[in-house]
Amino acid sequence: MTARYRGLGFDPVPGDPDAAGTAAAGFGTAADALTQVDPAVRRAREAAAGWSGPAAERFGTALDRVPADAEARADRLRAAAEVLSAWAGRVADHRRRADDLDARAAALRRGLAAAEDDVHSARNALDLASTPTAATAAGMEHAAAESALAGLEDELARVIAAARDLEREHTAAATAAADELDALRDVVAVERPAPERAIASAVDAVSGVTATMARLLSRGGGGERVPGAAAAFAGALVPAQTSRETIVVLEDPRR
Amino acid sequence: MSGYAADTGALDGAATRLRATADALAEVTVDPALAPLAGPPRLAGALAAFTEDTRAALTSTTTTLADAATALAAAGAAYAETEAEATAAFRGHLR
Repeated sequence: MTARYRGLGFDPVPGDPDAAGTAAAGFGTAADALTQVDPAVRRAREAAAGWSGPAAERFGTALDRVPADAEARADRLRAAAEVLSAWAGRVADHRRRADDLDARAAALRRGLAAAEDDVHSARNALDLASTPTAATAAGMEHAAAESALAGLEDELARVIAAARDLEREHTAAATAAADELDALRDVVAVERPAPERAIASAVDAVSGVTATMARLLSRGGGGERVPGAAAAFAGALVPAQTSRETIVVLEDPRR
Repeated sequence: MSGYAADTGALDGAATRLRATADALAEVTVDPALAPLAGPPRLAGALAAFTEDTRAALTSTTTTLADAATALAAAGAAYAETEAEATAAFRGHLR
């Protein structure tokens, strides 16, 4: 159980607004720095425009390696900073609400402990009542204590339910913010080949070649023997070609 | 233009600016330790991934800018040397 929300017994609003705010500030600073890249590169190109020779070529090659999407990336970083700033504000607001609910829950738990004592005391008084009149009075007191206890339990349940609602709201907001960050990342991902796609392509190609080789080899058993590896391979190809099946060729996934 | 028309001051200035931009990028702090603190696991994961992308991009841009600055400074120096040799040869020819 989190130390911050002992009254509730759980943390309905995980997250630190300061951490989110600091991350947002970092992205903002990065965006500002990236904004300087394109003008610096432009100025360098202008300064060296038309110059030829090995040194100029080395410079041109080096300059071409500078990512050309600095401004676009800066825009995405600013967008991410806005997402995180909004999230930080949301967390702060949710924390205030959670703090209020936690304070109420803590007070109710203290009241419950006292009410349980009252119920026990009333029960003892009822058990020890020596006269019908005393038993009637103790019975009424016990019933009132139990009623008070039940009332407090119901109130605590309502507070806990409100905290669960807040938790759901908080989680939904976090998911929305995460989706926005992922969307900003997806723009980046489109710009470079995903390793997964390259691997999948390679696996597909290998599977195709394996299947083709299996077909060739399975046909080889009944064919006539020919001397030499090249002739054997050419001989194995003939049945596949005459059957008009597609021969799958391994593609280089790096292309 | 021919190599003899290059403005070495402009080359030096451009190289300095490239270097300064690289230095500014190198000083940017995008702390990955913040991601786990920012919120629930779904958000923390997304922020961690975004942060990692950003750090990689900043590193790549910083490195390539610094390389370009070095290459440009070398180009400027090569030009200055060539110009000095040409000037000396021209003067020698005039004598």
